[in-house]
Amino acid sequence: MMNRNKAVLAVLMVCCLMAAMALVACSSQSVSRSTASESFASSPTAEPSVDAMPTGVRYILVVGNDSWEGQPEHADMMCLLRVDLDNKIIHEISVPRDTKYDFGGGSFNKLNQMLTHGGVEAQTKAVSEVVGVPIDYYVMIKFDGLMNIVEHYGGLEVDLPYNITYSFYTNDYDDETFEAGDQILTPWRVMAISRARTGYGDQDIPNQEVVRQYIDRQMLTTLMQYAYQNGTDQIEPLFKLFQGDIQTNIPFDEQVAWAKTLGSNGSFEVIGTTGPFEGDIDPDTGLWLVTPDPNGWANLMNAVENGGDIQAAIDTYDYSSFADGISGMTSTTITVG
Amino acid sequence: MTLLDFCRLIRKNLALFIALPVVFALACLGYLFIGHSDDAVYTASSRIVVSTHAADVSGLAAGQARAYTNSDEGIDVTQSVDFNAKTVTIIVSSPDEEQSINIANEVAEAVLAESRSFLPDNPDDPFNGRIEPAEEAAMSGSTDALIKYLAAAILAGLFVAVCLILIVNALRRPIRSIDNIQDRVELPVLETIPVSDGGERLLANIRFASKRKEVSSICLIPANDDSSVCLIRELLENALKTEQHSSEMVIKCEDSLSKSMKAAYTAREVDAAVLVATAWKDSMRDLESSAAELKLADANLVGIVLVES
Repeated sequence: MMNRNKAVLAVLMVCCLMAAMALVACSSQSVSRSTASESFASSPTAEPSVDAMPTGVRYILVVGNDSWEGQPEHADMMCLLRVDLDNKIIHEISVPRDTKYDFGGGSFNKLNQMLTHGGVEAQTKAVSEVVGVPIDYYVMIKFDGLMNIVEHYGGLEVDLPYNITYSFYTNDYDDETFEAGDQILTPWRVMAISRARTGYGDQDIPNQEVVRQYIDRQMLTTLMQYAYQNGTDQIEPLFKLFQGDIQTNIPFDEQVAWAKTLGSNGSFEVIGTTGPFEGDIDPDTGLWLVTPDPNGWANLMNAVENGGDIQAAIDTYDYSSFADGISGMTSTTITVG
Repeated sequence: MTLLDFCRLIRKNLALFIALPVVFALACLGYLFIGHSDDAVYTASSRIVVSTHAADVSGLAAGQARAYTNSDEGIDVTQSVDFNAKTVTIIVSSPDEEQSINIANEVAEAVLAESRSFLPDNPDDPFNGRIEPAEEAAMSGSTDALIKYLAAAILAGLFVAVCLILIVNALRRPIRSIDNIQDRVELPVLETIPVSDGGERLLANIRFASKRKEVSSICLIPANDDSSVCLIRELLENALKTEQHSSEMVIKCEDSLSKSMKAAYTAREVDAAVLVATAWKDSMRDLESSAAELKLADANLVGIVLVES
């Protein structure tokens, strides 16, 4: 009889626990969908408060925070900007999110998890270790901030290298389907494509994350073009408008001063590429991770810092199976005004 | 224990089964309203409705929200935008109801003023905005949280009640059924109460089991609960009256052996001694000890009557 009592007791305990767990329901945030597309014409504003033109090089980590519907935030997009104020060049170097990183005590995980563990400052420090250069500044943007900025411009022009159907992993929004080619995307579709790492079907893409990095860099460059389209006078009001949409440790005056300095010659160059991205299933974690490649990073950053041959530095990586546009390095001239 | 046994057990202990969840729920309410009244968070929302540039207003609102947020004082300010409706909603949570309302309205006014002074004055697309102020603040998630806590307390109460009932049952080992008796005591069950034949079968079974030609005296001894003994005597007396050649029979009711040993002496003297067991009230231990005592007294213990309800 005692055994049977124990069995009944155990069943009751399980039932009560299950019922209690069912009560712990999380509320979900809603995201408004936008199809609006309006143009904005900025009026000239006062001269910047910084008189002297800043000089030198600044390293800035741009972090795309994937916080969504209450899910934990990760640095899903990491793009290191090397802003050369003297030579008027910005290098955009994507840092693969899946790069194997030691979180301490031999505990390895994906580099982008550091945002969850330690916040954006810790994420910046971790990327600095991986890349091998001191990164003092960060700019973090979430999806709603990105959509606000794109909405400001009435959409964003993008040239997609592949067809893709993006499915929201939370299954609460319809799939977004994109065709390859030039197109202007709404804020919602920009948000969707910015996060799309899967959904390319059977197009035989060797590394879908590289494609996303390419698209994200392209969108970042286009936003720079938009920012300078009405001259440097527009920079300060624009930046003021966007301050709420980003989180950064760069003082506002310096943001404006750097941007104005970059545009002071009437144009500047943006060179984009990605860091070492090849990887495999990691024996320590069982995860697919990008293999740490300090030498690869050193070669790349050496070429970037010393005006060397970037293409030669990344030629060790196989881009032959990607679409024509993704050649490993891109160069764009931003014209001011 | 079968599911039916479990249901019967719960029914027998219904008061405890209901009372404990109620007590837990009341304790939970007391804890929430008295012990943690200071933890309340009030949320107020104001809304800015604009004619154009909702995204830009949202960006400015995000900046203001960050400026007003003060985690040390428990003030959290967020904003959300609906591009289609061209509305920006300011949501403020703080420990003070008035404070939440005031900040929500302050931020909305600051954002609108900043938007008016900052956004370009385009005659083709003029900027107009108005505020729908916050007028009240709701205790954040109070209803949901209260329901969750109450439900959890009631479940915990039910769980504890069921555990208690099962533990007490396991310790007491109450008599549940005929099978239960026959497994443990080597005595026949003469009848189960209630009966539909007026006690005729019970009287006959006592006579047969006594193994005597004539049974002129019977003693009814409760295992513990004595509430049904008199009822059984009445049944037997009625059965005797209905017999064509009714014989003289003395039917004695005694207290249980746990109260007095008088029953053992009486049982020695009568022609047939009968134990009366009441299901769920008497324990197997009561029945076993009574039967052993009567055997020791050399009583003619003929069997058991089981009272089922």
